[in-house]
Formats: sequence, C-alpha cells, structure tokens
Amino acid sequence: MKSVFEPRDNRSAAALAGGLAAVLLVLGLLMAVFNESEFKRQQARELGVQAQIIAASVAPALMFYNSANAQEYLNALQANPAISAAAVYDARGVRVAAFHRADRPAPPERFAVGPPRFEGRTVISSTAVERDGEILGSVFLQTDVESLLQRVSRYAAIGILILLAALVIFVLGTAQGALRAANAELESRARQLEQEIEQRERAEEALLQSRKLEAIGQLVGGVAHDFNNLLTVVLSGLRLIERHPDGERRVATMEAMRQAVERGAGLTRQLLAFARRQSLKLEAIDVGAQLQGMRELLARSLRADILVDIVTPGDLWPVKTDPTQFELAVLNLAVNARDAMPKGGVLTIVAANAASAQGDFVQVSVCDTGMGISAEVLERVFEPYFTTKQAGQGTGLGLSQVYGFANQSGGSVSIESVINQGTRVTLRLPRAEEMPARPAAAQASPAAGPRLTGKSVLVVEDEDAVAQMVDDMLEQLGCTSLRAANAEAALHALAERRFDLVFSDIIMPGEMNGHELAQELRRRHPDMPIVLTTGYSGSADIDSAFPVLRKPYQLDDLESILQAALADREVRVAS
Amino acid sequence: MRRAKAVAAIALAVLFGFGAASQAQTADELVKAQFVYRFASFVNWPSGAFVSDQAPLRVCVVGADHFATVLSRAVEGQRVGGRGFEVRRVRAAQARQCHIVYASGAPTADALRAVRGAPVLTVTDATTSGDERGVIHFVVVDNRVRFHVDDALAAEGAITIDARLLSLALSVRRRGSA
Repeated sequence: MKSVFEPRDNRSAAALAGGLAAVLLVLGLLMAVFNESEFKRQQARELGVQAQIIAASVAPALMFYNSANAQEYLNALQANPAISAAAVYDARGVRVAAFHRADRPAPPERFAVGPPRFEGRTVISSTAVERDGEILGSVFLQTDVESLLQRVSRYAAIGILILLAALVIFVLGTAQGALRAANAELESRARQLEQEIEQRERAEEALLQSRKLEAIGQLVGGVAHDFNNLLTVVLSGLRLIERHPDGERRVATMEAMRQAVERGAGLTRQLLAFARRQSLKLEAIDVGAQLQGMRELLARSLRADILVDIVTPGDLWPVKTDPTQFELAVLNLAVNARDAMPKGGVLTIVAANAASAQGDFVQVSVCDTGMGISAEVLERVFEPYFTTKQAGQGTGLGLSQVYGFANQSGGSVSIESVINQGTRVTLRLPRAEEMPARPAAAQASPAAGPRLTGKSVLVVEDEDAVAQMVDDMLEQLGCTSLRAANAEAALHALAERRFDLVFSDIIMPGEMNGHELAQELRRRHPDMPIVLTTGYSGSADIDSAFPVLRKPYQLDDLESILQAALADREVRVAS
Repeated sequence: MRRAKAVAAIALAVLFGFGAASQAQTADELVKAQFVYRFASFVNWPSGAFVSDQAPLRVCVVGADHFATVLSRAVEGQRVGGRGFEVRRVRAAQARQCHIVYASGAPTADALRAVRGAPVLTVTDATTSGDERGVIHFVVVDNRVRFHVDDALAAEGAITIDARLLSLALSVRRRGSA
C-alpha cells in the first residue's frame, strides 16, 4: 500500500519522524504558552468573582460603618490558602479592614478600584462595593500566582506525553524505514537468486545436452560396431554358401548367420525397449523354467572359462512379467558379469520367493566373482548410455534396460558390489495371481496348429522388399499369396476372390492403416483370420484385438502365428 | 419635656464646649440618617404595606424636627428596591401610616403604642428616647453609632429583617422569645 509518507530510506524516515516530533513539540509549547496566559486570565477572573462575592458580603458592614464585621469576613477568608492578602476600603478609599499572610506585604492604606493586575508572584483584583446604586467602598484581593516550578510541573505531564508521542512517531518512522529497506534488499536478493538459478539451470541444461550428445555418439558407435560384426558374419556366410552351396559346412554357416541376425534383432529390441517404445506384454510366467531354458543361450553368450550355475527351487511363485524382456534382462546381466570376469569365474543365478510388506515378490539374483564396481560408478550404473566399456564395446543400455524392465513390471532392481570380489544384481518381480498359461518349454512347438499348405494369404504391405520376403516365406510354408500395396487394394482384392487369411502391416500409406483395415474386414468378413505385423512397437499396436507379429521375425514365428489364427477361426466356426 | 432636653443639651454644650459637642452630635445624626434609610434595604414589609410597586417608602419622624431635616437631605436621590423615599414629620398618632418611624423625645412612647402590631419599622435613639425601644434602637459605643434589634417586636408587625442586618446589631431579641 502506498502511503503519503513513503520514505525512500532509513535516514529520510528518521528525518520525517524527527520533523513530526519537532512540530509536535512546538505545538505543545505554543499550547503551554497559550494555556499559561489563559490560566492567568482565568485566575484573575476567578479572583474577581471572589472579590464580588466578598463585596456583596461586606456591603452591610460598610453601610453601617461596622469595620469589625468587615474584618470578620476577611478573617473567614484566611481559611482559603490561595488568598495571600485582602482588604476592605470605604467610599473614601480608606482601609477599614485587612489581613495578609506573614510573608506578604500588607494591602495599601488607601486604594482605588482598578483592573486586575499582576505584581511579581501575585495577582491583585479589586471590585467596588455597591448597594442600591450607591458606592460604599471597595474590596482588594491578592492571590499567589503559581511559581515557575509549580507551573512547569503542571505542564510536565503533558510535556512527557508529547515527548513520548514524538518518540513513538520517531521510532515507528525509523522502524518503518528500516523495514522497507530490508524488504527492498530482500527483494533484490530474491531477484538475484532467481537469476542465478536461471543461469544455473541453463548451464545444467547445456551440460545435459552435451552429455546426451556424447552418449548418443557412444551409442551410435556401439550399435554400429555390433551391427558391423553381425553384417560381417552374414556377409561372409553368404559368400561361403555361394562357394560351397552344399554340405555340412553350409548348415553351420547358416546357423551362424541366423544367430547373427537374431543378435541384431535383439539389439534393436533392446534399443526400442530402452526408448520405451515397446511396452511390456505382461503375463504370468514360471521364472524357474524360463531361467533353465536360458542355459543354452547363456552358454553361447558367455565364454568357456565362465562356469554358469542356475539355482531355481521347485516351489517358486509365478511372476507377472514380459518373458522376452525378462530373458533380455538376464542376458544383459550375464553379459555384464562376463565382461567383469575377464579371467574367468562363476556366474550364479539364484531365484527365490520373497515376501515383504509391499507384497510378494520373486527375487532373481545374478552374481559374479568379477572385479566389482567402484562406489562412484555404482551410483550411475542405471543411467541410460552410461558405460565403462570402451567406445564400440558397449551401448550403455544393458543395465538401463534392466532398470526400465523391473520398474515397468512393478518390481525393482538393486545392485551391490565389492571391489575384486564381485557384483550382485537383484531383480524383484511381483508375484502373479494366476498360474502360467503354459510351460515356457511348450512355446517352441510350432507344428501344433493346422497345416498351412495350400492356404491362400492376402499380404498387405507397402514396402516392396518386405513384401517379397514375406512372399518367399509363405511359399516355403506351402501357401499361395497375393500382395496388396495398401488397404484399399486389399479390400478390392477381397471383393474379387476369397482368401484363407489376411496378413497386414499396420503402418501403411493411404486412408486406412492396418488396424482400420482389420476392423473393416471383421465387419465385412467376420470369419476371416487376420494377422497384423509391425516394426514399430507403440503400445497401441500391442493392445490390438488382433494377433500382432513383431518385426523382425523368423519363419517359425510367422508359421506359428498364422497357424494360431487359422486354429482360432476353426474353433469359432465350429462353435 | 422636649424643650427641657434641648435646654439641657444647650446647657451641656455651653458647659463642655459647644462646638465639639455640636459637631459630634451632627456627625452622629448624619450617620443615623444614613442608617435609617439604609435599614430599608434589609427589611421586608408585607405586600399590603404599599399602594403600588413604585409607591415611595414613607419615613416619618416623630418629635425630632432637626433630624427630620437631616434625614430629608440624606435620602435625596436614594432608592431602595425601585422605591424612592418620602420623609414626613408626623405626630405620634399619625405614625401608623408610615413604613419607618423615627421616634424621639416625649412622644416616643405614644408613637410606639400607636404603631404596635402595624407593619412599621420603629427606630428609637438611646440619647433621646429614654427607655422606650422600637424595633431598632440606636446607641453610641466608642464614638460609633450602633444599634440593637428587637426582631420579636418586628414580628408583631409582620415585618422581617435580613439576617445580615441582624449580624451587625449589638444585640438581637429573637422572634418567638418572650
């Protein structure tokens, strides 16, 4: 709030308050002077009134020349301490009666009535004694004016009050000024702080940005290195097959190529999982079976000088998680353990039930006997792109995938390490309410569905290369296929002739995407089996009402998903 | 009787120095004259005592012609309560028509008897009236004119006397006393 008095600083506030105080003092002084003169006048007036009362009283005494009687009246006056002297004079001005206090001069012998007057410490008042218009004489009264000390003491109280008021104004003014100054300083400091924070934020942002760039550089390096290796394997494999089109060598070469491509697929999965594009497909799984099923994979991924020990009790609870991501997480941890044990060692994977206040979990610990991780590195291991490996040796995504996977599953991950003794990473995954749908081992049994031989498939795919590859795969499965480049072409083709199944990409140019095409087809041909496929793994694709095959896939994957779709159709038609 | 007194007075004056005595007597007479009309301002007559509000206050002198002259001069221009004064020389029998009667000498007793019970302030003088006393009775004490008041007698005539006047009296015979 703005006030009329708005001192800019402490000093002007004090000056203003001082000025006010001075004005107050001057006013007080003026009042005192005015009061003083008013008081004197008042005193004279009062004395005059008293003289008149006495005059009325002594009139009979004067009328009958009875000075004794007049004296009696004056004697009665002595009881009043304020009166220091009094006298009664007759018509000729001769004193007929008088009294005076011991320390005061006697009233004059002769006296004539006059206006009240001040003589030193005294006030003298007189009045004529009159009766029926006849002047009989006069009365003289003298009273003491208060001494200076008395007067000062009379004004002292008021003076002190005024001084106090002035002091209060002064103090308040000063305090107000000080408060304003303090406020202003506080404000400027707050502004300064704000600016500093802003600068700091900008600096931090810039730092983060540069770190990100550095990390991306590292990532790209790592991915490029991995892919180069894979491509080398595939390329050299192809050359080998060209030279030796047959024989056992060919099978081994093909297997190596297949593994290389699988690893490439794993790498992209890892990248996507990290980017959180691929949400988890949670289902109840048997962790024990899953881990035991990974033995071969682990043996292939690790070196011969590393002993793998997998401990899974028989009574493990089922857990709710994404099996693929789970495998990937364990694999990432195993690979880290391998790299931590360059001279060989023991990798132990232990699963156990763990009940806690937060609920029931299954705990999976991956321990190595490696070099351990220093405390400062330990703090950052879950950060994306953070790696201790040399450029091109790692992507920095392994542990961050583990972290993201554990969190997305509703669990957690912790790490402990002792230098030169080893590291233990513990995953905690929430217990599932339901039992696993089928044993993990049963997943790899492709020939369970209806045979695909002779089935006609409409392939909807905008990419020519991919369409050609799908066409080849379907041919290998004994299917006949027709390709439509977009949804409209597919609908057109379906109107022309009948197909046993539609296999469509989700992301396509044109008015309809794969989902919309599938819905339209479900409306037109309710019994038509539809399988979707996508290389992009947004959650919308995964939550589809139709089976979705994720790219990249192998012939087995394609076969089993097509079989499942046809079997589903058969069940629906039969019922 | 009156003449005898006057002769005696003159004889005394001749004996003790005429001038001084005469002077003192004249001064006293002046004072007494003043007193007589000044008494009026301390006395209340019943309302029926006056014809009207402006009617003058009648002061009668019985048996003292000289004093009547002094009094006439003294009341000149004086007023009390809006009334003027009227001085008359009357015989004792006529005293009843007056408000104040100054009685002196032999007719004093007659005059007092004549106004008994009437609202008349009677004034007597120790020097001339002998033992007869009116409501106010002059005496000279220490060369000063003083007076006694018989308030009981005043009450008989239904007149009241201000306490301030009573306080100046040498003695007061209170109303209601025997």
